[in-house]
Amino acid sequence: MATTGLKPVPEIQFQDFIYTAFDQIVNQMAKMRYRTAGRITVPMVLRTPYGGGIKGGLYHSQSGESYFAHTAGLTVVTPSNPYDAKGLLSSSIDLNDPVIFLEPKRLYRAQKADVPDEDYKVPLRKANLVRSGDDLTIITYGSMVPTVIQAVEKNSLNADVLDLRTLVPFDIDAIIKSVRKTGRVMVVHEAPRTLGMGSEISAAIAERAIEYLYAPIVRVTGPDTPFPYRLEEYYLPNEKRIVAAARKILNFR
Amino acid sequence: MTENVNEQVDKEKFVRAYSAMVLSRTFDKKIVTAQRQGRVGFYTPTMGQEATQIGASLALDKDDLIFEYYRDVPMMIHRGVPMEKLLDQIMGNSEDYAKGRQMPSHFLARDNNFMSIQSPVASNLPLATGAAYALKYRKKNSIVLTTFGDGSTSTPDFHAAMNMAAVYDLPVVFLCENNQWAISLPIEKQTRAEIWKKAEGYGMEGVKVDGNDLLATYKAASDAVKKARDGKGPTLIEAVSFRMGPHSTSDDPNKYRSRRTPGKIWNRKGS
Repeated sequence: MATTGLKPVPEIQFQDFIYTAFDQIVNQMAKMRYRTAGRITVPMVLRTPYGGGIKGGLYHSQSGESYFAHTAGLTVVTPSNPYDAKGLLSSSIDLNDPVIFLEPKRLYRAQKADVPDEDYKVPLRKANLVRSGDDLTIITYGSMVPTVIQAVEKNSLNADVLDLRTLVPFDIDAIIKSVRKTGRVMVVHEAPRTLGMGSEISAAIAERAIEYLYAPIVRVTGPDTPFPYRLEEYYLPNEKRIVAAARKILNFR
Repeated sequence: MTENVNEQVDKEKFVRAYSAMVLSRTFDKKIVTAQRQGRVGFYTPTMGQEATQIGASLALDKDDLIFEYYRDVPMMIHRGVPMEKLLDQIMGNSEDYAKGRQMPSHFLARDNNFMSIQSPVASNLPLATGAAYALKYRKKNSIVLTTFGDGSTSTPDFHAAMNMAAVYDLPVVFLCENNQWAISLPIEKQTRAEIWKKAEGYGMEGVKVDGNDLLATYKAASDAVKKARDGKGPTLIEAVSFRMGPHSTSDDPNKYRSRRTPGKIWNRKGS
């Protein structure tokens, strides 16, 4: 439909089910502009609810953002609150290329907020500095943003909290700016650790600002295991793990 | 029936069709030879499927879209894609429509409404159904033709595309170019059912034609195209022919079928 004059905004519910359409996403949607030298384009936004915390087991809880982040040709976006959800979706629809729009499903019912009735945009590729502090930079996105904010506030951590909002391409300038200020970095996501967004962000910081670091970068992530059902609360990063990681980074000498 | 068709079609049209058949056969042989000489990297020969493709091509209008597969060179030649452009694609040079970004045989000709080839078989079918949905939604008069081999009918994409096209009465024609071989797998091991009969399971009309008979393919395609254009939904056409050459220049069919097989099967089919 997108190749023939429409701009579809389909939803695949849930993100865990998306793999039956992987060829369409990876080889068609993502690559059509490239492989036809721009003669055919695929302007569409694929909405898909992701992430755990709803007692959904592995078929309703996974965070597969790395699969999409690893595919050239896709823009990967995830909001962390109602205002951003509308504004980022609107910006994604304006983009004339395919967007994977990951919706943190745990937040569907966890947050209630009024959003403006009129159309407005939240820019893509721009991280949001949601808390400001001098000691530590915490980089996160999507469903983990409220968890991180809660950990920071309840434990009086003096931290910059960056909500990436766009995962690919992520806002490296905002990250480096904060890292240069604090010299201490934590990345938080619920996706498995190996080749998660935290790996790429850590590498990007190491390439551009390693001389500013006072401590090793610490990742607080889901483990490299299947997503469990009964043990969900042990799988997902929580306040306790975030605070423990913060203490480790801040006490590093 | 043949006389009827002859009445409808002017002589010029048939001369053009025949010349495209001869031209594409010649082109095919040239490219295979060039590949054997090391001048071309790869190619998927078409020999044996000319009548199927050009018969279907005759039934289309200029604005109709084609979601083709990798063996549709005769159809492209008949629709007016310059041979130079096919060669540019095969060589992957800067004059190629896609600037050399895909390996040979992954043709694209947007000016002639050829919508770019996907490698995994049948993965063009959901795209065709989606495009037909868009054309219907936008109240366009064009229709979609999509082509694929017998092996494609065993895939989930075939099912998804056929089902949705039938449910929404979409203006799309599914042309199965049954050349009886999916690389090394013969049709007997592909399916227990006749391909055209699978249409019934989707609530769609299925038709079987002799794919070596230009007029028969033209008639079947014309009926299906008219039906699609009139808003009466999709059709599955099974056009039976034979893949005379290898699957690709990387394939040696003598390893899995006897040199006599072509003649044997063609005689059995009465072609």
